[in-house]
Amino acid sequence: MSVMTEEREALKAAVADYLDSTFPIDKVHRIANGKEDVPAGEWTKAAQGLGLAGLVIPEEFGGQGASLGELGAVLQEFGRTLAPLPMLSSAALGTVAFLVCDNASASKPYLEALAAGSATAALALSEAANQWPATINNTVATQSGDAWTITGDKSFVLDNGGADLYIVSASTPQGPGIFVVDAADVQRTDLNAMDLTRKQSAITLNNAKATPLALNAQEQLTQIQNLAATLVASEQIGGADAILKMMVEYAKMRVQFGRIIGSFQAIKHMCANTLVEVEQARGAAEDAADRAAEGEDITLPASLAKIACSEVFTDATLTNIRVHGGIGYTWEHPAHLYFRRARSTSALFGTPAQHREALLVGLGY
Amino acid sequence: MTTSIETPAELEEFRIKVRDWFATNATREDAVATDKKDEVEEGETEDFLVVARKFQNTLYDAGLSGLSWPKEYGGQSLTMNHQRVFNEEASGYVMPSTPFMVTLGMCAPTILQYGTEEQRKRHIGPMLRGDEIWCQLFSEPGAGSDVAGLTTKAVKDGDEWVINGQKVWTSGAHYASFGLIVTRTNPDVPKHKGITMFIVDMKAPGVTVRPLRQMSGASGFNEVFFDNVRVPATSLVGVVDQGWTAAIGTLMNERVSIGAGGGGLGRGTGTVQFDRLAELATSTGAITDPVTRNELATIWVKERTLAILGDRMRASLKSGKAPGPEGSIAKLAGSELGKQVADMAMDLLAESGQAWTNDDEESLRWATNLLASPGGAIAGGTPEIMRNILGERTLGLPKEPQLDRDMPFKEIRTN
Ligand SMILES: Cc1cc2nc3c(=O)[nH]c(=O)nc-3n(C[C@H](O)[C@H](O)[C@H](O)COP(=O)(O)OP(=O)(O)OC[C@H]3O[C@@H](n4cnc5c(N)ncnc54)[C@H](O)[C@@H]3O)c2cc1C
Repeated sequence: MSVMTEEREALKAAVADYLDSTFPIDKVHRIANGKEDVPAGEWTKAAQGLGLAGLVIPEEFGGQGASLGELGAVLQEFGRTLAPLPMLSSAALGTVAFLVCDNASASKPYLEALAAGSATAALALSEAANQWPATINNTVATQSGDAWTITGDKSFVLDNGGADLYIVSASTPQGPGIFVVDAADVQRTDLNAMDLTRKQSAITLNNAKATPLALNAQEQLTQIQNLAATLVASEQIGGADAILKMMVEYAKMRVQFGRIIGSFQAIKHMCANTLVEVEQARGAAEDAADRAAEGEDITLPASLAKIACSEVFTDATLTNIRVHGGIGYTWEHPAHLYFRRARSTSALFGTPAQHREALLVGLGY
Repeated sequence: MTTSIETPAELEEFRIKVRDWFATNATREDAVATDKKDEVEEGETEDFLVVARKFQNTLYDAGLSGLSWPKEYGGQSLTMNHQRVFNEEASGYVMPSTPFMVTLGMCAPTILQYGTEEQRKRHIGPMLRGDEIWCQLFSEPGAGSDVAGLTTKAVKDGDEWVINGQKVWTSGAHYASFGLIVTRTNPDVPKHKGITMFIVDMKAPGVTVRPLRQMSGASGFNEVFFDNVRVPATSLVGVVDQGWTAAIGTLMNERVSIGAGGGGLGRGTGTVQFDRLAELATSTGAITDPVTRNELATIWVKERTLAILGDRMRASLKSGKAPGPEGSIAKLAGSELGKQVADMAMDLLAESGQAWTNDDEESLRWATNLLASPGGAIAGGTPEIMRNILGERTLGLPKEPQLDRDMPFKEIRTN
């Protein structure tokens, strides 16, 4: 039920081809288990071949100049395959932060490196659990002359095991600011992430050198977080769609009581309910990304997308395990990789409960 | 999203036209007393039929009905973006168009797709103008979910067909001028293969319409008896014995209509139910209760996702595709939402939801809404049937073992 332009369909198909051949789920599983590594230089290859790293970076900085709608479509494919490349973390979240700050002179060298795939960025806004939008509690930026330094801690940073650049929010005398910090100036600690396919970290900054992208930046911070919720939702809906296909495929081949289990209404109706939820959430995710691309205020659409996609992804991954029975509960089966991804992304950038409250407030209640 | 062929300037000009039309010809929702609002929207009494007709007539004459329908049959041949603009401008106004839902959402698309050129020329214009109201004569006492089990007979007699049998739950039959009827024309073949569709004049001799009272107290549907009703051969829709295909077409359109709101009528871009519930919660004070807030936001989410889904379905319909089984997605989601809205209102009203004073219009309206909500889930196919359709047709899961599929109809066990 996807309503997409032909160009967008074509882009999505090209990315799907690439991901299916480069990261089949068995390979993702082995990588998640630490039995194999992501092929060296793969991200640079994807950046140069398909232009993924610079998808939404303007052409003047070496990117593709595509819209957020296209980015959402590509993220669906990454969500579908769980490919362990920094598409969400760097090409989406990290990059979008630069774009929202709209500070060409400061951003130029970074955006060029990101587009070329020679550097990756990660968004580090969160300091504590259970805060949406994230508030700055103890990260402080100090200016002396032209130079800025930051001291503080950030957590739940999606950085795929280590980014080259960290986008950090910090308080300044002129209100909240957004800065870039080089990985060399950051102490990074791996978190024990439930999601085995994407690493997260906590970072500590100790008088770290920082380049300001925006000062007095409350508006930009809000926009970055709305976009983050929208983009995570795009990735989630791709995952949910993959799970729907997985459960249906299994329901079509597994035989019990002399019948294909998918012919039992109890199983058929679980699949149908998942379809209903997936198609509605897909609309919400694509709508939010397209509105963002049009420059509309996406406060409500972003929350809508994040709620709908988090909930369907979470429900679908559990239903999928039930449809599979015992095999679905094993470590070897990929079902749990998606289950973990669903729970993890549901909690990041605002839980459904937090977004529901934000919605009501946004609607004036 | 949709491939647009109109310029932004054209759309803007259209928007202004629609805005002006509504400002002069329609009533704002907040200007209507609450108790009257539903009646105006329901259009189920004669008075409201007059209101609805007049509204549709003026809409048509202003060139604002059948926006995406072909010009040659009385439509406007405009794009889905025009429809979207129309919906946006229409929101906030009372749209007394319920009596046309079956006509425009289901019967007209069926005639457009399966009817003869003569039928299209003869009927579609008057349907879009609101001059002809149609009803859907599918369900029978013995055949509801399994509508292919119908037994109303049609027998050829010269240049005419003679229809005998009974239909039931026929919405609007009491004010419809035409009906789309499915009949059995060959009982010696399996059930799906001996069905034929006709257009029947509801005022023809031998047609008897008896209103049935619903649990809500209203009488929106009827039983309809056919006693040697003669229809001309030119009223055949599609091919003799192959009416099942056309019937499926009608049903798929129906599900888009019911679920995604008013096929072609252009309604429901907003979050009407949420707004009403939030108002109610504000007036009872429950708006500060975290559980209430959580539920309210959930309803907003469901209403918005359903509206977005509806827009997308209409957009893909317009890009030339007949509606697929996906209409069942909207139908299912819509009936789930309806139930949740009704339940939440009852929670908020507590005692006053079950007994109220004469001047308490709010309670009356929500109680009426509650009592109407089970019907919405059943009409157009029950949730179980929707899930079967999605599971089997959209997802390709195997059918349940079917005992009657290949047997000649006359050997099948019936009610
Ligand atoms: C308000 C309203 C308006 C209507 N308007 C019209 C109209 O204008 N024209 C028209 O033709 N009809 C109309 N209908 C009829 C409607 O389409 C039928 O009522 C509906 O399809 C169900 O059929 P039934 O009532 O015979 O119930 P049944 O088919 O007997 O169903 C009884 C129960 O059995 C379940 N069931 C049946 N088959 C299966 C299965 N294969 N798997 C699992 N469960 C199953 C059903 O889900 C239901 O729970 C209307 C109905 C209502 C309530």
